[in-house]
Amino acid sequence: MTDQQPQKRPYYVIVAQVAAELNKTLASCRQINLTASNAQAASTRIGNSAMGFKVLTHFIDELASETQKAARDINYLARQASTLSTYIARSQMALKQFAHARQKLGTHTAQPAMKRAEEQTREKFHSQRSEFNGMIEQIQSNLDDLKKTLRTANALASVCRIEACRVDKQNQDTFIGVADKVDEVAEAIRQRVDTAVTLFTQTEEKEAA
Amino acid sequence: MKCHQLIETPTHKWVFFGRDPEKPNKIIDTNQYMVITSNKALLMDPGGIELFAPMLANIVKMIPLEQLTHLFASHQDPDIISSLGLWDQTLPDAKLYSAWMWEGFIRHFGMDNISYEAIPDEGMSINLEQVELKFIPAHYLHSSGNYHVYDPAAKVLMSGDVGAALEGPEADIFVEDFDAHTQKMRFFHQRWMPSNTAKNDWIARVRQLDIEYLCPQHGRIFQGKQVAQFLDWFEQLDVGTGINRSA
Ligand SMILES: [Fe+2]
Ligand SMILES: [Fe+2]
Repeated sequence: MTDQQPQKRPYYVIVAQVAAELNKTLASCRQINLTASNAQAASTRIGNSAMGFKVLTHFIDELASETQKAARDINYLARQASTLSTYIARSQMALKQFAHARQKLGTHTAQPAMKRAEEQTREKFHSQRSEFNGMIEQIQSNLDDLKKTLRTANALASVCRIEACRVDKQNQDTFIGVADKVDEVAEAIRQRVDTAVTLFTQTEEKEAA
Repeated sequence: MKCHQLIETPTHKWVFFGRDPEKPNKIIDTNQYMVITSNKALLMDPGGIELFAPMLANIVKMIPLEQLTHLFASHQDPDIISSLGLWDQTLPDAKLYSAWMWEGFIRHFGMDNISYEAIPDEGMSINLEQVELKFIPAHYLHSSGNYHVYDPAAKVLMSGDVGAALEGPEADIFVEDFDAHTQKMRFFHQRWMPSNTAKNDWIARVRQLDIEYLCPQHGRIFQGKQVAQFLDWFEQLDVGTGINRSA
């Protein structure tokens, strides 16, 4: 208690934090949606020379929706995992009590009913844990996919900058503005996703849980 | 679970949590409240063990967990604090404020790390940074060792089981039609509240307070003039009578 060791957080806390990080990306996704629809309006105004750009804004819009869906799915999964993890903690508490009770019995043999209860709890604990590990793997692979999607965002922003060369100076700024915004928001989301990934990897409790 | 910011002052805010649609059917719906200052937070009546996961998920969306430094249990009931065993592993450095007389009982929920801060019979005040919060006595309403939380700056009274109503999780957060709402409160107060003397003493003390929001642990929040309406209604109600419902 005296020296400040980095605390090992229970797994349900970590997964809840992951859910919260993903939840924060949803607002960023809405920003991209908004930017895309503003850009779409601008390209309609500009006319023919902005046709390529208009198609592009459609992709940006789609990307934002896709990212939003992915973030929602991961958020949901992480909240489920957090709840499951509290059940695991409860099973673990029960197992500890059973062990304690067995110890108290000393040389007396445990009743079959007690053995059965302990056995059932242990089975439940193992199945909960393997379900939980499955969920964590799912979340991690979804996070990886999301990172790949974010790379597409940067590609789209680059194309956006190229398209900007096709219109006059005044409208160029609108296009470049969109590209910058997409890059910026993608970066913000990537940071949140990285935080989420780090939250997982920092703890090695998964096996020990 | 719904999460609603009740009020924000320059120094702090009050947040409501409740109406969890995923809550198991047979457990009573509860309201949780949190006061958040710049670097600290107090969670009032954290709830039962089944509520722990949705509460945790909502709290980490709002503040870093280190900021949750204080817990408060108005009394010893399971719907108030049976989540303690899990909070104890989550917030090992937190303090739990509750009645001196319930310490030995509440510890049965499992508490190895959190420190128990006993509230004396006459109540006490704490400071959450520059925000003063008063634990005011509400003994025998319904528990024999019971407190409410009064925030003079925000004019909020967290009133535990007083003002509770039995409603489903789809109910609104705020009282709309006061008269209609009394139907949902009457039996609860008659059956769960044991003492008219305690009730009248509490009403006299609470009438002295400036209250904009009266926030019970079940049911809906009273606002503005509904607070006085509630006190008048509660005053005329005979409690400790719930067994003779037909009488
Ligand atoms: Fe109670
Ligand atoms: Fe209650």
